[in-house]
Amino acid sequence: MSAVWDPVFVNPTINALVILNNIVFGDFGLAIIIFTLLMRLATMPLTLRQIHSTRALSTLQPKIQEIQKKHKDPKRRQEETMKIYRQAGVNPLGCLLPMLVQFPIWIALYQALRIIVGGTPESVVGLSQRLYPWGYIESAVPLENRFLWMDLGQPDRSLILALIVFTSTYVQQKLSTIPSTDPQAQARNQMMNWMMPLMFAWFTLGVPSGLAVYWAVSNITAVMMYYFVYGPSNVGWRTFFPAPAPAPAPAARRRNRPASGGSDQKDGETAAPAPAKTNKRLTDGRRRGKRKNRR
Amino acid sequence: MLLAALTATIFLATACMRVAAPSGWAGPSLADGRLVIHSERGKLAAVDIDSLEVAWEFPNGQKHLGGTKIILQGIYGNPAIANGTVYFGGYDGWVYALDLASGERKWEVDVGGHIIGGVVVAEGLLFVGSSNNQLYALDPAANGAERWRFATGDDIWATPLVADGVVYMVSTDKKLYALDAADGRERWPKPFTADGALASTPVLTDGTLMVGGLDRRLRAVDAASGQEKWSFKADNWFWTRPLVVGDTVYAGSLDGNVYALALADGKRLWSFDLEAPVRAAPVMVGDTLLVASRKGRLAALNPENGQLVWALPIELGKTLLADPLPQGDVAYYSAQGGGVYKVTPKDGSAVKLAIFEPGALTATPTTGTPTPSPTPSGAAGPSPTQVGTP
Repeated sequence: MSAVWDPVFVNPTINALVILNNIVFGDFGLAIIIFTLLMRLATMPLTLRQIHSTRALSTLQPKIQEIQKKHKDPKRRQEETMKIYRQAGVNPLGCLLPMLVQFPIWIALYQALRIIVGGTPESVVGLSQRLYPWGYIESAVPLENRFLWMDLGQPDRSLILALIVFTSTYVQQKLSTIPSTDPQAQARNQMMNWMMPLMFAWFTLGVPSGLAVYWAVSNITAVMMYYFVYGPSNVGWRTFFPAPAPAPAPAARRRNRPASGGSDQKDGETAAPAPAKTNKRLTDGRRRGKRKNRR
Repeated sequence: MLLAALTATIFLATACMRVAAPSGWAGPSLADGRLVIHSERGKLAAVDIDSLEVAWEFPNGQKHLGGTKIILQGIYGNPAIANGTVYFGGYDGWVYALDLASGERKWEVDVGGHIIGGVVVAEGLLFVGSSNNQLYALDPAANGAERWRFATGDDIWATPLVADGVVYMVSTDKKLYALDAADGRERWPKPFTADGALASTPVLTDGTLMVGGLDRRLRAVDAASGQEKWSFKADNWFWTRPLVVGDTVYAGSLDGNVYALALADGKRLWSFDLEAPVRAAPVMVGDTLLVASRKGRLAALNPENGQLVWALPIELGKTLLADPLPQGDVAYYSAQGGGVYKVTPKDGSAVKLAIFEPGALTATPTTGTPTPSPTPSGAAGPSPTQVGTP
């Protein structure tokens, strides 16, 4: 595997990073940021396709829910769902395939960063086997590992980077999640929306901070792309917080209590516990209404 | 969901690639019948050379004077032994002085930055370079009190060389410096500058300094003026300490070759391909040249023509990056992660010393065959013999 993988993906990435490092006057942190932006730019058509597919799938959710309610037979349900997709010109794998194509690039970048900012003399010996024999590249060794407050070869223990990675992953995850009308899917989505950022924040505390810088920049770039494609009305700050339930009328509240959410829930909404006080609930209800109008 | 699971799996796999821990590649040192070795990651041990009994280990849970636990992380430079004291620098940035007999700590100094090169005791001072760009001259008789320091433009990864009152020292700022050992003043009008970082420990012979660099060149520099005499370009970096015997320079390169060059003009006489990066310095034991690659391939060569003395190289199956210690008719090699091998070119044996295995003095079968080989110069020969483990 590495006989092909390394020369085709990892080594060119390493050398490109070192060249960028020289271009930005030996600031390797800046080289990582520029490289990430360039990679995001290169894969932008795929990313945009992914965003559009995600968006299109989310708009079809009410129709799909209708089909699920209407047809009990799974085969029929599947056929009808596919029909909806066909009519709308949406490929359900459209959001998955672009991401799959990008994975090798991102993994090669991870490996390259790990080798370059390994931070030990042994890793420098390893690096010697991967650099192209060009004086311009070799003159960059050893690379400067300091960037802002970080040692790019060591984990950032200050928690600042972990916080940035957590926040950026959360926002990016939230934007790329396909809203579902199925309560089970909603619960899964919500879990993933928290799990992924937590997981990456945890990784940040253990991996070289150069990698975490890449994660953060990559996430921020993805969010910015989404912002520029769909505009500020779709990327408002309210998008990123769990929605409280709308304030039901007192009678309706009594009726709904045993069921707690379920079929009365509106499309795209997340189940949330009822607030404790009536006046607070009313306020929340007004806010919720405004948000829906924006959407 | 599938996408999330896939993402999580792949990122989990990649994130498992955590920060590489430094292992250290310190070679052994010997004095007063005691072999001082980097026994395992972040540990130094003194071993009786005859009985292989471990006299002491350091740090063994000891604490700095400030109360924090000593964690060496790794030791890269060979320890220096002088006047019954072992001196060495840890990757943790501290320089330690230990009593050779008891292992008791005499003093410690925090110079800051990782120490990757070794220490040298000469002219009544101890010289050590650090990754904080500084070369320090410490007074071993005054608990390591700093006498002077010299700032370079980048990390110092090599052991300084002290000769005739001059400290020759390289830095990854691509420069070779000549400093007065007494006060640290520069001896040359300007330091010698290479095209790449300099990381190999220089050697001096007949007024010529030999130094290898990460610009793939081994250079001969006039010690008096700091002017280049000649340079030889390999296919990868020179990070080994060269060896000069007679009118020949031997140096290993990370391109996997050991080169023999004419001292006068740098002309290539022969080369031997070990097929893996060479960081460990070549050493002469008797009339045999011993060379080792990172992958643990050990070869005994005829220094005249580079032909194998043994029928085949020995495969130790261990990472060899440390400079070996030639001693009489044997050489000691430290493998990374622990393990010291006693290599006897005469009988073609590489024996792992059973230092931490009570009851046995030595172990590991011999493999090399001390018969002259018809293998032509520069060829590694057929597939090598595998060394068994005890």
